[in-house]
Amino acid sequence: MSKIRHLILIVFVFFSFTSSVKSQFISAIVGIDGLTCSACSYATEKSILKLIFVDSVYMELDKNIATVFFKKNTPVSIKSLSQKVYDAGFAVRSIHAIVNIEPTTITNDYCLILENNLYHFIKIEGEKKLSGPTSIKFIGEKLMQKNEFKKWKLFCSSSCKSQITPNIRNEYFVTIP
Amino acid sequence: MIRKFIYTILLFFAATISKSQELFPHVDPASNIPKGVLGIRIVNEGFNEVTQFRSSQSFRFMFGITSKFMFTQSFNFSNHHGRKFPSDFIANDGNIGVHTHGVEKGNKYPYQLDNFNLNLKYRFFSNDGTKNHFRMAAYLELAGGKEAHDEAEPNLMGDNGGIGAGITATKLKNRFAISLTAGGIIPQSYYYQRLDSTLQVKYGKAINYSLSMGFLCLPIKYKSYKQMNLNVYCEFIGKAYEKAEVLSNSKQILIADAPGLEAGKYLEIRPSIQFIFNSNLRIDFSYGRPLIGRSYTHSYPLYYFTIQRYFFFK
Repeated sequence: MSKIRHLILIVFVFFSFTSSVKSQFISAIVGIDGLTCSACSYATEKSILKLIFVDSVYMELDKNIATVFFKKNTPVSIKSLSQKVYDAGFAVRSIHAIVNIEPTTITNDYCLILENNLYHFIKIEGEKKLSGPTSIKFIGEKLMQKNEFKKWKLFCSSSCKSQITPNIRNEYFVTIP
Repeated sequence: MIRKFIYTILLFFAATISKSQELFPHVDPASNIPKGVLGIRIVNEGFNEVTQFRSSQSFRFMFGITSKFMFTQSFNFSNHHGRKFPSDFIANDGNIGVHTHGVEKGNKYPYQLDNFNLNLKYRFFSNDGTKNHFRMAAYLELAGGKEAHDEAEPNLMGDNGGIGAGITATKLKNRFAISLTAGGIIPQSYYYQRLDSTLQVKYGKAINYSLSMGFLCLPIKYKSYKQMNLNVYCEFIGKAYEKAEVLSNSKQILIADAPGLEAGKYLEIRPSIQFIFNSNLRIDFSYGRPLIGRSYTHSYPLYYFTIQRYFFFK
């Protein structure tokens, strides 16, 4: 991770502490596979910028990593973010998001509802206390490399399904890296 | 000499494999234009033919309908042909040969719209990794045009109407890209109703094949979209086609000593250099010459100048 990206993330995290915490999603780091030229990265950046909840994108051209900053008070859809990478003709290697979480203690198969989406925490050892900006890793077919998802599939149980109401748009499997 | 040149290029590619480019100037890779993006490409081709300078322009509009499905609509203009064959295309003896003007080179023709070509491409396989991918796509092309094309070899990007289809496989690893394309062409016949007779030219069905290689020379390390990209390519492009048949009032005409109307096969080498500015504006310069056999649809050497830009919509 470059120093500039670290600095930008720290600044965003700082501001997220001091401002109201209406929108829980601050930013996401998206690893992109199949990219090999700056013209491809440019097209991918343009595709991501079409999303109404995206404020800005910082693309690390040599590492094929996009740091996506979200707008305040606009619900975020990680599924739509992933789809924009595929629309540009490439694939998602990994997605890590920085999310503001109210003080909570989670265990394995903990179900958390944020912005009308259900986040199902998997592969959590023991109890973990979460508070404030937290990095979460997304697990899913179009949210990581296909081969890596095969290894995670075993941990994706249906124990949170009972909490899905008509208001819930998507269920995401996530973990704390 | 040519062999040495090819070996040198192959060795150069093999020795320096380490980000690559698949933006081949002549044959499209298996990758598609991004969804909702419009690309405009203008391809200029030129060659000297006896006392004429033949030039053609292809105006191509590419659009990504989905991430896997795209189309390219091309409008091809040139001064290669007329709408009718010369009146002495079939000689007084009832045959066609080098003694007729019809298959002679160097005739003057007006610059006009030759044909249009609609290419539909579907990427059906993708295996993307970090700085590498392997992709496969199938294409279907439909062309319409009524040029008095006087060679057996069909060319759906200019000379003929007809239908073509094929498969492209592209592998990209770091700085090196390689792509193979194989397809078939079924051209439309040319019909011309004269006062007292009907002329029909049945062009040969063909198989088209190509091997394209690309290498990213600059930048050494990507830092910004403003860095100019310099890519070099070497493409091997060819066709194998059946002989043409010429019928007057449904009666087959004897063709003698007219190699352009005979069956044939060839392979050309087309090295290119490509500049990309602001990660969008692409300019290619290419040169083409025969390696095995030759094409009778053009003379050699071939010169190309291509310019392309993507347009992004909000």
